[in-house]
Amino acid sequence: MTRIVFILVLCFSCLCGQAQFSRDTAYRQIKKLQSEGVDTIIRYGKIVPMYGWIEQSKQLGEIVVQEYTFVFYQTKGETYLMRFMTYSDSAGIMGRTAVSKPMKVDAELMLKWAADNITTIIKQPICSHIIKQKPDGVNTVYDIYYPSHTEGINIGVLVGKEQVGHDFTFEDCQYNYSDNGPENLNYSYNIQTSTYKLYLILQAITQSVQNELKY
Amino acid sequence: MRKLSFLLLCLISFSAKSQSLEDSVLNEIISLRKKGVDTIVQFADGCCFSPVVYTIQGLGEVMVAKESYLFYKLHGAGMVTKCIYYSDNKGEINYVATLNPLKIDCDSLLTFASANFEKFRNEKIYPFIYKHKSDGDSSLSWLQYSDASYFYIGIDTKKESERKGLDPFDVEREKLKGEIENLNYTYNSSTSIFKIYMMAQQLIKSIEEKFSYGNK
Repeated sequence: MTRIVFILVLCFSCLCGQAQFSRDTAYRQIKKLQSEGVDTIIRYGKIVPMYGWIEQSKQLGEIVVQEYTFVFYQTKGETYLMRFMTYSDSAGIMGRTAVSKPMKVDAELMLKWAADNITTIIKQPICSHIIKQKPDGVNTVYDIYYPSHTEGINIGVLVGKEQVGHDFTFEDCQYNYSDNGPENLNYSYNIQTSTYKLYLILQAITQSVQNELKY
Repeated sequence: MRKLSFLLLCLISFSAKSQSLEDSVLNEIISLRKKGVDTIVQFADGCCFSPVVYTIQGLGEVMVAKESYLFYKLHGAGMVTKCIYYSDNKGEINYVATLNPLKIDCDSLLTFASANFEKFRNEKIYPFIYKHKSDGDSSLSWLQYSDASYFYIGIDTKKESERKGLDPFDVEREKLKGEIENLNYTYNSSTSIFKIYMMAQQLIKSIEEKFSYGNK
């Protein structure tokens, strides 16, 4: 009997706890907000496969965050954000998830700007980091630079029934990947896109509130 | 004793089923080496997303998920062997078989491969990069097809071996009736990887349905 209870508890924990990813939880929260009539939502996530960021949290201690998703939304005239993350705790247990309590932020203008510019954001994804080379000294070729471990960024804007999502990497927005590395041919284009402008605003807001979040 | 025999049988059967196509090809290359074969050109099609149905004498109707051809010369005669990863008509999956070799005139392929080994080693096929017309050609994009076939081409000489990958979309000049143009086409089509790919494909057309399995 004890064995059966143990197996059941193990299965339950695998199904409902450890195997869950923060982006799935964020997705369910977005669906919930939409069903409650929230019109404009912005999703902003980051992931580094197999790696992560060390963070110090008052509630969780020292943790290594593998992926996170911020969700911005407006309800009853106030703007809030929530953070969903997958992390390893200080004991080394991997695949844990945590959701922050909704936090009031001053991001009304950003939500309005994103809603007004959704058509431009749809048309302007961030393009890959592409470099020019001459492998045989004669012919010009174009190649993609993709490091093995890079920050994967995804941004989603949901306005009523319209929605757009763009995935890109940190390196796509860099001029070159090393001091003497070749120029990213998409750099000038990428940094003038609406998606990149939104990314900069999201980065600034989330960095300023990250340490104040409660889990 | 009975339990031990059962366990051994299970282990033997597991090792047979779990053999990969790559292991089979490697075993075949080692075996050809022992027979004194000098240069081997390998052409592998990893058509996982669009398996091909063949009727092979000795195996019946099979669905091949991956296949690998080996071109070589033995006792002065050009030969080709095919290793397949397949499921049978009973729905059993993950079988690997090495089919009986066939005679083929592959002199030009083997000569080209050994003469261009160094060039082949230093080359790669670059991705399909094109200019976005919608934003006035100011950005470059990468054309990706998630369900595309992917090919591997290998050259094994007595001393060295080298493998290269090739996505057929990367060696196309254009897509969408000329709407988008592959900026890497000129270079990609001048590589020895592409030339060997074309030569091997041409040779395969004439023999791919003629293979058999087991003792003749």
